[in-house]
Parts: sequence; C-alpha cells; structure tokens
Amino acid sequence: MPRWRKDGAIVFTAANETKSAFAARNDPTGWNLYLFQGGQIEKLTSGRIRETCASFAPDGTLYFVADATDGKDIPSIVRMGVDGRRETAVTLPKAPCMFGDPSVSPDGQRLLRAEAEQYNRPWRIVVSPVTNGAERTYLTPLTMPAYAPAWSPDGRSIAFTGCREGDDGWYVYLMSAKGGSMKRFAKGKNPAFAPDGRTVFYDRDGAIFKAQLKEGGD
Amino acid sequence: MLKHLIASGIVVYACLDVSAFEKIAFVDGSDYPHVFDIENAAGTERIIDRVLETGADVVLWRTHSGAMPRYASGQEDLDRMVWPVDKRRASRSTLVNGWVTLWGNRPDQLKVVRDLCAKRPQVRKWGLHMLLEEAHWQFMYLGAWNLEHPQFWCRKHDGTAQMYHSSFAYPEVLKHRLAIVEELIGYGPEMIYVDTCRNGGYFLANEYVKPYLDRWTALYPGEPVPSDSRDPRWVAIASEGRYNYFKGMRRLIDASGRKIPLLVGIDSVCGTEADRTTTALGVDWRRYVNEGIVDGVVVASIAVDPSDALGSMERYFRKVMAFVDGRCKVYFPIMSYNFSKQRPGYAQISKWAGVSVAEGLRFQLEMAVRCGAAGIVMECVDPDNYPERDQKVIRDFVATVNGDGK
Repeated sequence: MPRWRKDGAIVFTAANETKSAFAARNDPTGWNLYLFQGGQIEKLTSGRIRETCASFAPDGTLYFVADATDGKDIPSIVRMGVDGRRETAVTLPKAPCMFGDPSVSPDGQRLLRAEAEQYNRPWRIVVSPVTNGAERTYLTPLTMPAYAPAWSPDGRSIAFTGCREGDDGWYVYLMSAKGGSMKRFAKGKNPAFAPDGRTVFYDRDGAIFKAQLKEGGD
Repeated sequence: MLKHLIASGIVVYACLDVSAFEKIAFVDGSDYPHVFDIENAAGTERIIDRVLETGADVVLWRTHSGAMPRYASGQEDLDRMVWPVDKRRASRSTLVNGWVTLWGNRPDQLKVVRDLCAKRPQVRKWGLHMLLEEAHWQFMYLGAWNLEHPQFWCRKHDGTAQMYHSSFAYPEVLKHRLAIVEELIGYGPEMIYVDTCRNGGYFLANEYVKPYLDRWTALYPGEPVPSDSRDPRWVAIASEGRYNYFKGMRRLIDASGRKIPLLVGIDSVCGTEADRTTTALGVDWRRYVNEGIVDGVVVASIAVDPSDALGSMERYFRKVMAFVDGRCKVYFPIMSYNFSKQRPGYAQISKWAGVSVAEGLRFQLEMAVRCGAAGIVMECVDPDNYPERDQKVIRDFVATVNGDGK
C-alpha cells in the first residue's frame, strides 16, 4: 500500500515481474521500496527478499518491513533515515514470526504495527516506544485477528481492520491508542484518517468509502 | 528369513492379477522451478519426463499449494494471489527468488498436464493430488478466499483464531471447497487423491468453532468442552464437516457421470484403531470405506517398529487390508523421503532392517504385491529424490510384475 510523506512524496513497493521463476533463479528480484516525487521514481532499497509496508515518521524517517535481517531469513522492521542509513528498529526471535503495517505516531514517539508472534497465532495490533520495539503492548486479543492499524492525526486513537468472534467478516474498529475498549465502526478494511481527524476512509468490495466520526469521538 | 519371505512373495504375487498394478506418482510442479521453467508447457513436459523415469504409470498432479491454485480457478481470485507482497497472505519470510513471477503469465497447468499425459503411452491415468488443506504449510500462505472470510477461521480451545484454515463446520466453507472440487472435475481427471499427510498444519485441535461448540453443548449439557481434542466424543463432533466434504466429493463425482476413483490418504499407520488420520485430522477413513464414499485407501506412510521394520510394516499394512476386506483398493507406500520416525522412507526402513537400500526397496515392493495392494504410491517425485539406482529397482520390479514394463 502506498504511503504519503508530509511533502507529498509517495513511497510504494514494487518488483520487476518480467522474468519467469526459472529465468530469475540466478538473479533474484526482490520486492523493494520506491519513492515517487516530482514526477520521478527513485529506488530506495535493494533488499534480499522483500522490503514492503513502508511508512514515514513525521521527520521523514522511513519505517518498513524487511524479510531478511543481516542476510538471514528473519524479518525485522527497519528504520531508514533521510540520509539513507538503515538500522533495525524491531526484530522477532525467528521466522516464521511476522510483521506488517508499521506506522509511527504523529508525535514520533510510538511505533504501531500488525504482528504475529508465532505461526499459529493471528495478526494482532501492537504498539511500542519507537526507541524500544521489544517493549510490546498488544492492543487486540488472540481471539481477534487484526491488521492495518492507522493513527488518528492527534495520535489519541487508532483505526484498524479486525474480526471479533461473531462478526460476519472484516470490520473497521476504533480504539484508544492506549488500548481498552474498542468500537466497531463500519464493515470494511484498511482504514485511514483524513487530516481533519473526523473522516475515516476504508475499502469494501473493491470500493473506497468514507464516513464521519460523531462529535465526542463516539 | 528375508530371502525366504522374498521367495514366498514371488510365488504369491505370480498368482495375482497384477496387470492393473498401479504405480502412482504424486507431483508438485512447484518443486521444479529451479531446474525447469514450469511456467510453460515445455518445462511441464520435462517434469513429466522426470516423473516417468521412476516407472510411474499414474500421474497425480498437485492442484493447490501455498494456497495457490495451479489452474485457472473461478473460486480463487488470481489477482489476489500476488502473495510475495501481501504480508497477510505471505507471512513467511521466504527468499522470493523468481517466485515473484510465478504464474505471472497465468498458464493453466492442469490443462497442460492433462494434454501432455494423454500423449504419453506410459501414462495409464492422470489425475489430481489434492491436499487436505489448501495451505501447504500453515506458516506460509493464506488462501485468498480464507483471507476474505475470517468469520469462518478455525479456533483453538482458548479461542485463538487460526488464520490459515477455515472450518468445514460452516456451510459456506463446505460450499466453497466443493465448488473447487467441481471445477477440478471439469478437467477430466481419471483419479482424485486427497492427501492427508500434507494437511497444512490442520488438526482437530483447531476446530473449537461455534457450530461444533453448540453441538457439544446440545449433546453434553453442563459438561465443559474437552481441551484434549482426541477425546472420542469431540473427534466424532469435529469430524463431521470433513465427512460432509468427502460425501460431497462423492456426490459430485457421481453426478459427473464419469468413473473417477476417489482415494483418501492415511498417514503414519501404526496398526491401531486410533490412528493419526482419524483422531488428529478428523478423516474417519473407515467410515468412508464402510459407506462406499471412497474407491481407494492410500497408505501414505507406515510408522514401523524399528526393531522389526519390515515385519511390522507388513503387519500394519495387512491390518488395513483386513479392514478394507476387498471393498475398495488399497495402495502401498514407497516413500523416498524420511520425514520422521512415524513417516520413514524406504531407505530408513531398509537401514532399520539391516539390509541394503536396494534389497529393502525390492522387499517393500514385493510386500505390496504379496499383501494384495492395488499398487504403490510414490512420494512427490521431485528433482532430488528417487535417485537413478532406486529408479532401476522400481522399474525392474515393475517389469517383473507386469511383464511389459508397465
């Protein structure tokens, strides 16, 4: 999914799909991140497997999921500064644990993401201090698969895609960024707040919808 | 002792009608992308060449793996099969290599395989190798339909959602999976095999879903649902959806008007009633045999006793034969890989028996005939298994049995 930077640049994931699997056997073409800015496309990463799910922090630092860490088949969330320097922000003990959808809070202090800590566990929403990704607070329970979290512009709420027991499919849920009770907002997936903080966009059945939050945050 | 058994075996199988003794090879085309270009007919033909080197005369082709259909499916949206980039679907960190483009040109591999097999006189039958679950291991990939229907996902006893598997307890899941079978029957397979060994990490311990929990409450009011999924009462409840699936397959095959043998696999056969296939996977194969749902039972692996490897192998296999008692065919495993102690390959069994691989392999082949098996099944033939020396043993044996090399 593409993401905006404050200045209007867009980061997205792409790969060269011109080769067959056989033709590419000695020339792997991983999925990498690209930046679209001013009509130009710039390749940002050259990862070994997949480098996906990018998101900008307010200061322009890029966070993304890398499926290889130090040449090993272990995923991590990488932080890449505006100078191009990379460092690992969060690791998991071993594959096949998984990350998705990293997103830094508007104040730049917290790192939100989807995470499945074991292969037989569902995706859950997790938040950590941006300086210590290992300090995990799980915001959703194991009984509720959840992914695609998004911050509200004021950083007080998050929206995400989830399915609670009894739901008839994926729904957009809203909850406080500190955790606690959640509210089912609309049937659909992949929510995003508009800059006004009152409008939420999401997709359902191949169409994009928007809905307004009521006054008082309810 | 060994020589005596081999000699007596030859006497016995010479009396059998062995003209139809089948040599079945399972094939997963996606085992080959590093050696052949499997995305076109020429590469697929080379896979078939490789498979036939083993002496196989029945080719059963994998229909799904990694939750991805190997054909143009109307049930699974190929546009959402771009799994390398969708973290929800392709959760595992796997070297992408060329796989990013796999199926990029959308070949219909099943159609290619069917047409190629029709041109090969060695191939008596071609058919489908279907996995019990479409995921080819649970931490790899999530099916597109599964992803869109989290309300049907399996759950553990504590309610933890299991995102790779949807439960047959829900009629919608059964309908979807049978629709897949229906479109596969449209390819004209001459045999359909459901492989329980490759179950994608599915177990009855993942079936604590509302319809089954409600059923438990109705049958055993006030009694907590057992956390041990091997509780026979729970097994009976939670196996019902799988039973309906097999029954549905039978109905669809019969409705097609074609005689397509339906085979069910049983795994880690160990000579007891409470085998893994029944109690862990909920595939009550004895019921399927009793009710005439299946035409064949594939003994995919035998958990032999290492202290009496060949003897126990024969005893355990004969127990299956005795149960089936001629009501359907039974196939004998000639498995190359040594997956585990419960799933030993022919080389490991030979080692335990204290004989060479060639001797042990030949003995196992002869055991299959002596016991009255309808044929042998070979583990997914890939570029690395069934080496030339073992192929020769199999081919020589086949020539002895059928007299014509078939």
